[in-house]
Amino acid sequence: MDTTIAIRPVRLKPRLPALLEGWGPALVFLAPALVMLCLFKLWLIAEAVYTSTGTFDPGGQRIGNAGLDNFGFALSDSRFQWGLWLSLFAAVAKVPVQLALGLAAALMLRANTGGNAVVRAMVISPMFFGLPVTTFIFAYMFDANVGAVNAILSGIGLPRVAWLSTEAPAQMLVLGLSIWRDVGVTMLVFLAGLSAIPPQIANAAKLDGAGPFALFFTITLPLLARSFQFAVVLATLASFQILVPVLMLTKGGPTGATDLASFQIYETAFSYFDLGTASAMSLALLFGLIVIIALELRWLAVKWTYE
Amino acid sequence: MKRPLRFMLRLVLAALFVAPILLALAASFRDNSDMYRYAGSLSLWTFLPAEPGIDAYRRAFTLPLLQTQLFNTVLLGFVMATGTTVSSLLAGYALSRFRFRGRQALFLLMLFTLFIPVDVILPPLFFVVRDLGLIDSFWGLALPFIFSPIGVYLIRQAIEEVPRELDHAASLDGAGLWEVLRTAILPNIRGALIACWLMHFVFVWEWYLWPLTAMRSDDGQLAQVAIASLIDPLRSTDYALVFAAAILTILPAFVVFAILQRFLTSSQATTGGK
Amino acid sequence: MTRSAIPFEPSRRDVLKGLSAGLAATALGGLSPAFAQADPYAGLKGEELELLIWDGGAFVDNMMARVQERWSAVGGGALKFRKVPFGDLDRAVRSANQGGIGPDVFLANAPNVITYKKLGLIEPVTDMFTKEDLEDFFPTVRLGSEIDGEFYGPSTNENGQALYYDRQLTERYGLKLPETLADAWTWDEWLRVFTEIQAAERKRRGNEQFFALYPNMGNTGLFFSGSYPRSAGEKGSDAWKMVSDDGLKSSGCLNSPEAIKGLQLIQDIHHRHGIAPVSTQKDMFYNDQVAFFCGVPLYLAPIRKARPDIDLATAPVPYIRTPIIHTGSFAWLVNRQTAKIGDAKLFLKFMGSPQGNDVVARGWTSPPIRKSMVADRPEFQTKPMALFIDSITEWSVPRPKVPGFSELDTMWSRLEADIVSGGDVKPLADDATRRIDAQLRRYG
Repeated sequence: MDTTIAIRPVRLKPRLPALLEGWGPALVFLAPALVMLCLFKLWLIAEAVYTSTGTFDPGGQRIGNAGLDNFGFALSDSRFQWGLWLSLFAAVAKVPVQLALGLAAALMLRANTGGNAVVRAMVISPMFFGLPVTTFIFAYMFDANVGAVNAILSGIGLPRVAWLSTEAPAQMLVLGLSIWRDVGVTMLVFLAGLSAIPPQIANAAKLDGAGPFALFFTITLPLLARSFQFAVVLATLASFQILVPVLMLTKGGPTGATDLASFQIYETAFSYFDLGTASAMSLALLFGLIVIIALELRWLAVKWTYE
Repeated sequence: MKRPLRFMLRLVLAALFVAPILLALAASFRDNSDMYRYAGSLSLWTFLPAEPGIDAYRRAFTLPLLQTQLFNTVLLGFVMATGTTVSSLLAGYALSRFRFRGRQALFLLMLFTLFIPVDVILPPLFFVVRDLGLIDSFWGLALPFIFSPIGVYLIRQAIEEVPRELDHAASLDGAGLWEVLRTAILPNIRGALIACWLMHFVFVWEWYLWPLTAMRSDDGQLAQVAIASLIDPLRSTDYALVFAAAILTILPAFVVFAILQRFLTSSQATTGGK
Repeated sequence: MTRSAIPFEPSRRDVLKGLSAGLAATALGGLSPAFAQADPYAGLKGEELELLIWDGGAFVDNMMARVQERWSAVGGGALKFRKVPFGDLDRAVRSANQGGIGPDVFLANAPNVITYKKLGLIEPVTDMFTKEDLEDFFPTVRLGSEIDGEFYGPSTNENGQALYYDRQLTERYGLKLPETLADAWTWDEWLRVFTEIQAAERKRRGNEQFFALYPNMGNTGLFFSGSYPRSAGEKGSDAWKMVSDDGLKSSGCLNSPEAIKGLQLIQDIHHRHGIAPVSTQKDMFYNDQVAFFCGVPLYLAPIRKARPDIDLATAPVPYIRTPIIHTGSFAWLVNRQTAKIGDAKLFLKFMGSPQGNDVVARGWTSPPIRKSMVADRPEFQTKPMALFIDSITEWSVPRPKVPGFSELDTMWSRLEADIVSGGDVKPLADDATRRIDAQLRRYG
C-alpha cells in the first residue's frame, strides 16, 4: 500500500496555482456542507447556550431566565461533579488499554496474508453490529443467573459475579464493551501508520544489528507518533460516548459506579425535563472534552516529517 | 515466534471479537426453557442449543413492523452514506483545490465540530430539529448527520494526494471545475470514497438515542431501537426472538461489510477511522 | 352524526358473530342496557384516532385488534397506534405535543395522571361517566384518576398482588402456608420458610442458583418494592405515606426510621438472607428457578403457558407491620390539544364501559375495573386467583399521589438498585429524598 493520510510528507516543491481564486464558485461546492454545518453544529451550540440560560417547567416549556444559575447548580451538584470525574476516568482507563490492544493487533496482523485479512475483518466486525444490538448481547452474556460468562466462571471453580449490581464489575463491563467495540478502529489507524513507514528505515536498522524490541521502540514507535495522536483523539471522543450501554445496562448504578456525566445529561433532560440544567451540563462536559483533547494534542504534538 | 503459536494467537484474537455474536446466533435457535435449563452449570449446552429450532426466525418475520423498520435502517444507511460522501467530496474538493479567504479557518472549524459528540448534545439537538419541524420524520433523523467532519477530512486529504499536475493538465485542456473533479480527481480517490461511504453506512447501526428521541412513530422507527421493545418488562422476554431479530437487523450491515471490507482493512484511506 | 336504534342493529350482530360463545354473554350484558337507553355514543364522528401505547408485542396487538372490532361496532373509527418502548412512555407523553400535535389518546402509567394534569396535557372526561359508573369502578381506579373533582380517564384493569407458587413443591416439605388475607404472615414468618425451602431445594437439585423468592424488582418502579418501607409503618404514619400530604416532600417520610427498616429488608433478602436473586430476569419462575413469585394477575397466562403441569397456588404478600399492596395500572387519557376531542372522549367512555374494558382486562388476565364485572369472571371467585380480588378490596392503596410521580419513580428505581447492590441504606435514602424533593419542588 502506498502512503497514508495521517503521515503526510510535507510538500516542499513550489505549488501550482489554485484552480480557482475567491469565494464565489467555491460556495457552490461548499454549500451542502456549509448549510449542514451552520444548522446542526453552529446553531446547535447556540441553541445549547440559549437553553442553558433558561428555567423550564417539568413539561419542557421555558418559563423564565436563569442567567448562569443552571451552570452554578450543575457544577455545585456533587452527583454531577462525580459524573465529570467518572467521564474523565473512563477516558483515562479506556484510551491506553484500547491503544495497547489496537497496536498489538496491528503489529500482529500487519503482514498482508489471507489469514490476517480474515482476522482483521473479525477484529473490526463489532463496529458493524451497532451498539444497541451488541449491548443486548452483552446483557445476556453477563446476566448474573442465566449468562454464559457466569456459567464459565462457576464451571472453572470461580465465584459467580453479579456483573450489573456490583460496582467494579459494572464499570469493567461498560468500559470493556466500549473497548471491545472500538479496538478495531484503533487497529485500522495503526495499520495505516505502519504501512506508511518506509521499509528502508527498518532494513537499515536491522543491518545495524537492532533486535526486534530495539527496532520497535527506537524505530517503529516513534514513527507511529502521528497515528498515535489520531488514535488517542478518536478513543477519547469515543470514551465520551459510552451512553447507550449505561442507559441499557446499569442506569448509572450500582451506587453511582457508572453514573457518567452523559447519562446524567440524558436523565436530566428526558426523565426530568429540566432542560436548562441539562444544557448547562452538556456545555460543561463539552468544555471538559475539548480541554482534554487540546492537552492530548499538545502532549502528542508531532514535529517531524519524512522528507 | 513459532508457527502454531502465531496461529493460536490469531485464533484467540478472532474468537474474542466474534464470540458474542456467535453466542447470540446460537441463542436465537433455542427457546427460553432450553436456555435456562443449562445456565446453572457449565456444559456444551451452556452455549449451544440442545434442541435447536428456527421458530424464532418465523416469529421475527411475523413481527408486524420489523421488516419496515429494517428497511428504514438500511435506507437511512444508504442516504446517510451517500449524502455524507457527496457533501464531503464537494467540500473536500473546494478546500483542497480552490483558494479563498478563510479556507484554513473553515477547514479547522469543520474539524473542530468533530469534538461535539451527539450523546453529549442530545437535548439541544432535539430542539433544533423540532424547530425545523422535522421531528418524527426520516429527514429529521438523517439531516443532522449528513455533514461529517471525518468525511471532509478524509476526502480532503485524499484529494491532496492527487498530483496537482493532473487537474491542471485537464484544466488546460478546457475542462470546467466539474469536469476536473470527474476526470482528474474522482478516479484517484476511489478508495477514500468507499471507506467514507462504508463508515457512514454502518454508522446508522450505532444509532439508538437519537432515533429514540427524534422518531416517535413506530413505522418510521429503526429496527435496532424497535428491538428494545421486545424485552418485555411486564411478562417474560422471548430471548430467541430478540436475538433472531437482532441477527436479522445486523445482517444487511454485515453483508455490505463483507463485500466492501477489503477497502477498509487494506486501502490507503483508513486513517480517518470512525 | 346521530344514529337511531335501527342502523345500530346490524353492527351489534356483527359484534356477536365475531365473539366466542364465552364472551358473547358479557358483550350482550354490556350492550343491551346501552341499546335500550339512548345511544351512549351519540355524537361519534367515526374519526381515525391515534393512540400512544407502549409496545407490548403481538400480545398487545391482538388485544387492540379486538378493541378495534368492538369500537367499530359502536360506530368508532379506525384506531392507529404509536408504540414506544415501555420505559419511554412518560417521555413520549410529555413531549407528545412538541413538534406538532401528538396522538389523540395516551395510555399512561396511572399515577402520572396528576403530573399530566399539572402540565396541562390532558382533558377531563368527567361528563363521559355517570355517578353510577364512577361508583361501580374499584376505589383505586377512581382515586387514581380523580383530581380536584374531575375524572381524567379509566384504567385498563385492576391489579392485585400475591405470591404465586407450586403447591407440589411446598407439600414436599409438608409446609402449611397462609391462603387468605386473615392468615397472612409477616416477613419474619416467611423468612424462615424461604430460607428452609431454598436450602432444601438447592440440595435436592444440586443447583446453587435456585432461589426462594423472585420479589419482582428492577423494572417495575415502586409498584412492588415501594411497599417495603410503606409496610414498615402504621397505617397513616410518615413511612406508610411515603411522601407528605401535599405530595411535595419525601424527606421525613421515605427516610424515616421506620421506612429505613423496610428499605433495609430490600437489601437483606438479597444479601443477609440471600433468598432472592439480584438478577432482574422476570423469567425465573417461568423456568422453575424460584419457588415464589411476587406478582400480579397479568402473569397468570405466561405461567400457565410455561408451566402447565404445576399445581398453581397463591399466598398473601408478606408484610412488616401493616399489610399493604399497590394497585392501579395504566390509564387511558385524552390529549388536551387534539382536534378530535369529541371522538377521543367517547373512546375513553368506551374503554371505561363493560364491553370496552372486558377485552383489555381479560387480555391481561386481570380483574376488570368495575365491581359489577367481576361476576362474569369466575376465575376470580375461586382459588388461586380470588386472593387477588381480596387483596384489592382489603389491602390495596394507589401508589403515592405526587405531582411528578415519574420523577419519584425514576429516583426510587435508582435507590432500589443501589440498595440491592449492597450500598449503605441510610445515606442512600437521605440522598434520594433530597433529590426527589428538589424535583418535586418544581411542581410546587
